[in-house]
Amino acid sequence: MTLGGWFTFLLVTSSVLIFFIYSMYKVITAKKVKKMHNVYDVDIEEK
Amino acid sequence: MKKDKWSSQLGIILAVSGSAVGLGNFLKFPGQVATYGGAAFMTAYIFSFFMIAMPLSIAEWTLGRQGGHLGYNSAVGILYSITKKKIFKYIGILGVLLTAFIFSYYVYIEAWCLGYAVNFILENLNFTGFEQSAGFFAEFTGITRNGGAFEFSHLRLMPYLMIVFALNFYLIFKGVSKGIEFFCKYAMPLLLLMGLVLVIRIMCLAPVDETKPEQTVNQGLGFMWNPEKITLEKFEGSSWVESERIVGDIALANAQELAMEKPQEYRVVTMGLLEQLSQPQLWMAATGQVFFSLTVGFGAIMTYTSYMRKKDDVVLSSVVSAATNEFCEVCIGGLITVPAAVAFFGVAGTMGAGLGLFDLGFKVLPVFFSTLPAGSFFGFLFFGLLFLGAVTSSISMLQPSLSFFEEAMELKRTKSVSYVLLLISPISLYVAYYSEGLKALSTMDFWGGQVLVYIFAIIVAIVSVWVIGARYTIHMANENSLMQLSNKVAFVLKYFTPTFLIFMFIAWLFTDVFTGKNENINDIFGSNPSMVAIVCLSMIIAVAFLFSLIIFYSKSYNIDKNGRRIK
Repeated sequence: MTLGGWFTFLLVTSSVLIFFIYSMYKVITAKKVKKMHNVYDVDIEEK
Repeated sequence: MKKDKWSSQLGIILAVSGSAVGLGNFLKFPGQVATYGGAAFMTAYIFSFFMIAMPLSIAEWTLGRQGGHLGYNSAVGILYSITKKKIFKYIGILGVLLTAFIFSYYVYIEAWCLGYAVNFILENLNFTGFEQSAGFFAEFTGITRNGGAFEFSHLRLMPYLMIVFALNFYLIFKGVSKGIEFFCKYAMPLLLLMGLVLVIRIMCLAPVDETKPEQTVNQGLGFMWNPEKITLEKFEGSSWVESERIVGDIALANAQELAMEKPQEYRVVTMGLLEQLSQPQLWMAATGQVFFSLTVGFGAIMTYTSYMRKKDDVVLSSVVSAATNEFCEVCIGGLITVPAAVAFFGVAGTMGAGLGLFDLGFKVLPVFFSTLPAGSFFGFLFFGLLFLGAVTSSISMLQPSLSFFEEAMELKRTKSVSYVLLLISPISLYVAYYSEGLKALSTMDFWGGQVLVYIFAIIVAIVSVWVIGARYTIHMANENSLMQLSNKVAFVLKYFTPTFLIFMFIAWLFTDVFTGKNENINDIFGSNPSMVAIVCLSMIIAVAFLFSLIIFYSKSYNIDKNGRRIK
């Protein structure tokens, strides 16, 4: 593998790994979110 | 009737991740990266991920949760209740139909994975060469003759097909929480663990043959990730055609020597990153891979998310599911198949065997595992990994049909499962029986898994962008979300996603479908039509008609002015 190949490989795999670990961390540590407003009761045509 | 719900947010995340992680992650992705060159392919892949797949995925999650709150679980009811336009009841059929037909052939491939896993652990598979492995694959799957797979033996497909059918229907019968969620909670971590064990084993692989320094894992990674694409081209007829991919110093020196000796016949061409990115085929392949990999536009995510609770987070869940899928695809799938194949066969040997979905996984790697110390165990791990990925995907393909029958005919789960079984099993058996040349599978994949998926994805984009409004879709997504999306995402969803999607669809039609060389089109409209293919397409049309009749006579689609179901 060339130097450019190593660079691409490490950049892509480490970015994906960080993205995966970060998102997993967020979901594990997520607190219950305060509700903003109830969009479900809004008529879509009246948005 | 008490409504089924996911018991936890992690449950829905694992279920949707399971739906996305499948054979494409471990078999198709590495082959695509190797074919088009890592840096160029990943540039187009990442662009498509952020411009098409993620916005559309968030839109599908949002529509699903909203539709579920309004009282519907299938794409038919969800699109109707949200748009309040009757036409969308019938358009929504696509979201039910295409998963049912994808399941019909996906379960067939799933049975291959189980069969290979079982036979590896029983030490029945010891291949000495590619021809032997390819011969077993042809016999096992019945590619050589119709009905070839319908023989009862542990070395034939039929017993495994029955097992995977029973497993899939048992899981959906148990329900969303006790069946799908329960299975995915164990299957997904196990899949990740098996994948990591395989990655470590393959990365620690010593050269298989000391006399062949070009056959190493390092060369396999270079084949995938080197930004420059070096090829040996041969002059044939009146043009230069690619003869061989060059990876490594020795191969390059040999190729240059050949080109010096015979300059009229051979030349070495180096293609840079920008030149590779100027190829439309690369963009289509990257967009197709990321799009199909995330199962966006299949209707499965929409159905799954309709079982979410109001308080569940749509944005974070969709991001985590996508991240899990990407991790499996890039960090596991990308480090197993191609590096292992190149370490054993070399670049030329791997390309000669083929980089297709079935070539790498079912013909090349079984030879590799046969020669590896403790290869039976690692072969079992690899095909077990594929099997788990396939099951978590296939159950998500059954759920839309089940939800449709429960919703439209107001049936209880037992009856709905029976109806789905009655509908899908003849189609699956047809695909498995007409196995010669994988004609039925190929036809179902083309019409169900490509044409309908593109169309349904465009519909999801249209509904979320023009019927509901992109800003309102993002506004709904932000409800109860930890990560708040900005209006920039709405801008991308409104302008880039549908434009790019429609452009890709048209480009696909003109470069692949309307070329006169597309086998699936010629099988239907060509001068020598295939009866197997015509029956496949007729079945899709017949089921669409049946679903239309059910919807027409159904009393379930009465909604109030807010789109809420009236019971």
